[in-house]
Amino acid sequence: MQAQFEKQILNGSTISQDIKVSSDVVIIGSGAGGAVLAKELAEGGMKVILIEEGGYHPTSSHTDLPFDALSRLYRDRGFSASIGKPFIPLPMGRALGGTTVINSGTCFRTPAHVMQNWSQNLGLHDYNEAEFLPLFERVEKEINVTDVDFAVMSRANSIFHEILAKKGTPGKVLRRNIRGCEGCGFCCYGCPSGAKQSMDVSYLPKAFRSGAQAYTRCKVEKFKVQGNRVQGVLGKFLNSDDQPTGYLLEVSAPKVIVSAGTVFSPRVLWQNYVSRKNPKLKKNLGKNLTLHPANKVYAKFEEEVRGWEGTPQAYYLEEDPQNEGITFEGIFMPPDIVALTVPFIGQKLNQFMRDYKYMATFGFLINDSGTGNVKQLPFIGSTVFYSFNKQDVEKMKKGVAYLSRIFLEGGASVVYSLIHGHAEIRSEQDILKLENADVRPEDAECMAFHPLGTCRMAATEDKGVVGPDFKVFGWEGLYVCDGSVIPSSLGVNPQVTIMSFATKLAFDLIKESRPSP
Amino acid sequence: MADRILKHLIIALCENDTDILSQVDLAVVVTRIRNFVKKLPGVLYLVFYINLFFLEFALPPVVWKIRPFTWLNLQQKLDYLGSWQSSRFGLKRTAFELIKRTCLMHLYSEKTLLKHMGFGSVLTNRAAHSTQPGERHVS
Ligand SMILES: Cc1cc2nc3c(=O)[nH]c(=O)nc-3n(C[C@H](O)[C@H](O)[C@H](O)COP(=O)(O)OP(=O)(O)OC[C@H]3O[C@@H](n4cnc5c(N)ncnc54)[C@H](O)[C@@H]3O)c2cc1C
Ligand code: SF4
Repeated sequence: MQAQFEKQILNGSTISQDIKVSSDVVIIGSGAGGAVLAKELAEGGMKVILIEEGGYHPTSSHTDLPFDALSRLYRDRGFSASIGKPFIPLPMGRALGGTTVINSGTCFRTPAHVMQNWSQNLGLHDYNEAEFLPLFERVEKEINVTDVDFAVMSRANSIFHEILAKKGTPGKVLRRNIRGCEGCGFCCYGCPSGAKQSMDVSYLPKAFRSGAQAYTRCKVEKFKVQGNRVQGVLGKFLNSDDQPTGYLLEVSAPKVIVSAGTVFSPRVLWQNYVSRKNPKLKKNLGKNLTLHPANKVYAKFEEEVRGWEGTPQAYYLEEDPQNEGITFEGIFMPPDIVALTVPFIGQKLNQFMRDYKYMATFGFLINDSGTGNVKQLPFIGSTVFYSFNKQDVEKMKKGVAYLSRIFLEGGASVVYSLIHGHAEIRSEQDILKLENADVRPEDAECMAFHPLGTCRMAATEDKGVVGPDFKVFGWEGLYVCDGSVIPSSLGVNPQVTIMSFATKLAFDLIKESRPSP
Repeated sequence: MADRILKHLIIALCENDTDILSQVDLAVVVTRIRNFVKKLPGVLYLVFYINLFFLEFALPPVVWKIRPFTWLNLQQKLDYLGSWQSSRFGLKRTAFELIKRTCLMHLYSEKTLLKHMGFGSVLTNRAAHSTQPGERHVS
């Protein structure tokens, strides 16, 4: 049965006429940025229209097959990647709720030292711990950020905890946005029980109950512009094959907020030639991309670990033990997906798969230095370019070496890594070999989940694309608010930071819309 | 032709392990792969098939071999695929990974195979939480 709030969600693929509407605010994209804005602005009394390229997939439609989830909930069926050395798979969500529908639910506040950096280097003096405390608290309450219960933790994580505890240096349980999570381990494929408080089950229903309206399967390409003022958007409705149906959505609104995510917000701005009116934008638009490249190792134990039973990302090391800008976090891939990442073929691959029930895994992400960018290529569209620098490769080696040592000390018979030429690590000697190896960037195979920074926020336009008020420099009525405005790599998972930024913008806009007494 | 190459590739990736292959209908897996690739964005679709044909015909400059991949015996196939997998050239490894990952993802999403390999509890665990267990949206 359709819930009352679902009546506010209009499926673009079933619309067979052009539609013209108006609102106070139109938001492009419904992920961590867009959904929070929609709810806060609608509750603040503004008329909100939300436009999302992906479809609406309610909890009841999530199935038990990762492959199916890749097809429905991920952009490019989960095969998006950055080009460079190495090629880095860069999965992104495309659904009502954005990437939060397929994320792991881990929650961190923005580290204080990162905010200090923004203040010093980019002039963002209001972006500090004290100002953000009430924003963090509000977000965490909305999405119910809670410590993971040891009882539902994947054994792959608790093995790691036991080894560290024995050494006297335990890590901590992660905090996640969950309500009644039973640990089925399927977070990245759409939570089948609705426990994960992704945007589609937390913020968005509240937005809709307060009158916000969403058009799904609608892709925004053009702004309505007069001079340097944006006055609305034009979107194309898409059919179930992602092709335009031929019908258009036209929304007139004095405020347009682009929340299409770090890879696609620059595209929306480029498609509207924003830097023709303000050429200074060229310097930073699409640049300063950070990814938090992530890697992991597999460790084979004698016991049956069955890491798929329980929450896969539940435990972390608060501080990188070697203080190198590396954050270690639990991870476990279900067996139907893990084959993708196995660095073997033939009997070794078969044996790996047979042994997978005996394997624990643990991962890490590195605080990278922002060497990437997003470009708009003819016929291809938004394309991500990113290559490691020497420091990042060293961090990759260090992370793998650290985890390998922990697991071997803890009794693993072999550790498997994704660093080319170092796939099997059986002894301290193998670890030393890795540490001393001259690993090339293209040999450090990894993945990335947290693109940030392509419309960076800064106090002045020589350093950023948007100001501290989220307005695109040189434009009126045009804002960007999502991962793309986060000024630098965070070193921790970004969703709470993005949601807190969005809360700030919403509060500022509501204040602005109310006549001062 | 592409179906044939994909079939040979999957068999080679599993080193013709009948314990694994007897659990799946390869024709069905190949059809799923083809349907999946059909819906990839245009560029990826093209890259996938270009890679597949490079792999089959071993064309220079990527590699040079007189006999197509599907004509090789199992050991030759494994050696040949190994040379892609462990190539010094990152680009060549990536090209191979795209095809390998697509094949393995579809092979290992076969429930009978998962159960057979001892991952039955993955499925029952998920089914217990899911309102739509087992429904497959085949494209
Ligand atoms: C597998 C995975 C696991 C992750 N795990 C975690 C985690 O545990 N914790 C954490 O903090 N972060 C995690 N992340 C990252 C986090 O989910 C994202 O950083 C966050 O959701 C980004 O928010 P956003 O608003 O910038 O973009 P998104 O959430 O990606 O939303 C953007 C939306 O805009 C839509 N869109 C794009 N272009 C258009 C257009 N032209 N017209 C209309 N709509 C458009 C897209 O379809 C998309 O739905 C994970 C990411 C992945 C991929
Ligand atoms: S472990 Fe399962 S129930 Fe818990 S949040 Fe993830 S998908 Fe939902």
